[in-house]
Amino acid sequence: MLRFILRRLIYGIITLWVLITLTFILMHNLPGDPFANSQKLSPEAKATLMKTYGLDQPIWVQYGSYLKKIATFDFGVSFNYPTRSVNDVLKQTFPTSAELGMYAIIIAVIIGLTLGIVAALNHNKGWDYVAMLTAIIGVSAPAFVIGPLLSYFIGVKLGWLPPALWKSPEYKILPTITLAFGTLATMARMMRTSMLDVVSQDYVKTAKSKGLSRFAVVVKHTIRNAMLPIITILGVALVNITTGAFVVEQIFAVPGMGKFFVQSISTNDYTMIMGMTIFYAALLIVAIMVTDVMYGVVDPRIRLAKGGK
Amino acid sequence: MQTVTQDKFKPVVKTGNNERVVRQSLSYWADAWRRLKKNKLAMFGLIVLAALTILALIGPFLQPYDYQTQDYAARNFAPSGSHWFGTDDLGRDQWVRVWWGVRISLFIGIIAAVLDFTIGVLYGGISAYFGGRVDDIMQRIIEIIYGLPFMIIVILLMMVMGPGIFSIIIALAATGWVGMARLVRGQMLSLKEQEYVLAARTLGASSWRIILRHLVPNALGIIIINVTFTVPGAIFAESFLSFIGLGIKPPMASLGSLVSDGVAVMRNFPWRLLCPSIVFSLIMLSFNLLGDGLRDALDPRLRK
Repeated sequence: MLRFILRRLIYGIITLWVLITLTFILMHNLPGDPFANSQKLSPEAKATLMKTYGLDQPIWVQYGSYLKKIATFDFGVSFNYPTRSVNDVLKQTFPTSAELGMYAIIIAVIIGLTLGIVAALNHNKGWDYVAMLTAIIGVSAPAFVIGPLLSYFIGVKLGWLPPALWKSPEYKILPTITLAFGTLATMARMMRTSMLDVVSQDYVKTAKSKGLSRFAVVVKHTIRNAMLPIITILGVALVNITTGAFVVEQIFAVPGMGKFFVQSISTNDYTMIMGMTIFYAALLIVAIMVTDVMYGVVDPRIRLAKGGK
Repeated sequence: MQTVTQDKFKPVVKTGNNERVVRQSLSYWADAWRRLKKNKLAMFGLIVLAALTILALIGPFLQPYDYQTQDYAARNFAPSGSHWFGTDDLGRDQWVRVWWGVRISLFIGIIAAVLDFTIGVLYGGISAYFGGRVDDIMQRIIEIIYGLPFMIIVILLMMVMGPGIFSIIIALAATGWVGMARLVRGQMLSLKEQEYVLAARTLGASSWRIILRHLVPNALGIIIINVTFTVPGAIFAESFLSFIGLGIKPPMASLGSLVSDGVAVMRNFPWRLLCPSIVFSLIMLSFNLLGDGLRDALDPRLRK
């Protein structure tokens, strides 16, 4: 078990290092000048700026000092707003994004799993079609389509909920639904397939023939086992929700990290993009690692197959 | 007690016809097509997709406008007889722009599928065929790439290469093949151990015959299923990038950038949001329905 966790940990660290290096290389080959936005710089002023940011050093020295800074969680200051450090921006925007993401994943898991379970128990009946329809809409209409539509119809036309911004709880409903929808649909679909798969297993038949109540068979034997594959897609779900937040925060003007990230991209804010990319990636790599280990803990077969050697 | 006499029996005359199999034997593909035809949702997807493809090809020619000419006398028109989907704030015809967007979406989808297929099958095939050390190293590389968040890598690549169709294709190709390579390798490894491969080998079949007649056809179904889900994935990625301003650059239209422009003006000109959104959802819907249908038709495990 310890071996398995250690193996995952080492992979996580290597992946993170590859990502940091890749980000560094790519950012240094970016077209466009970081000081292009502040025009009319004299060559001397530019040279001084280059010096303060260490851009006059050979690339290996820059890389080395960059790695050192990252290791101490120092992402530097924004290129465009020298008074703003990347860490400050992360501190300001991350809680909002984390809140939105948390709501979305909770909604997606609870409603998605319930829908999947109900669908499987009523296979080929009304509820099954509702779940399947939700799943199909979920994959066909991504956040950047469903978000504006919800904002327009429910927010603007019907006026039931505020169409944008992030203030009191009623402002948070539409962004959360938008962000959760795709994942909710995937969860419902996976859970349904998994449930149908488990229902035909021998141990369920055994449980039934032992005379257990329907409740016990469904809850203890079917749902418990059908949940296993869901854990594997939790990592993917988290990735989707994080990247989905880029557009959802944009559409609903939520002052989160995603909105800031997209803004930094359009203004060529090197340090900001690098810092945020690495933060995002570290978050996601850790999340995937944790779900992987969790799956190994819950299902011994995986542990033996993947890390047993 | 009844006696059984000789005359109760009569010899069966061999007519030469009674060995004939009455029902025509179906090949794998014929059977898959038969199953697909029976699947109403998949056929619906196929028909919608065909209609969208035809409209993407001829749509821009049905109106006397092009995607970039600005007409300040015709700004923000609502859908009407002369502008079927209305016009945008620069007086460009939305109908033409939407179908240009569909062209781009379909083009990206097809190219991504071809690249995915080629790189993935080659990488996975080589990894499974050579095995041992080569396989080990190739798998470690895959495991690391697999852990990288796909969209963030694509965004980084797009920033370096700048907006445009070509950059999107490169970015998608650089990141999209990993799933396919894993799938192909896994399939090849498990198929190699199947009894029918052993049987073929025992009968003296050559390696080539085994690969071409047994391994490839048996893996092809699952590969095709994967490709049909790659296409909507790539289409989504392009629109996502265009939506956040990294994809197709103006004046060329992409469904993602059209939706993004539509969001900004939806209060006053809702059709600018609705038209591209509906068309985009139809593309995704038809590919997903078709993909689901193909999976049911091609996956031998689901056969009864």
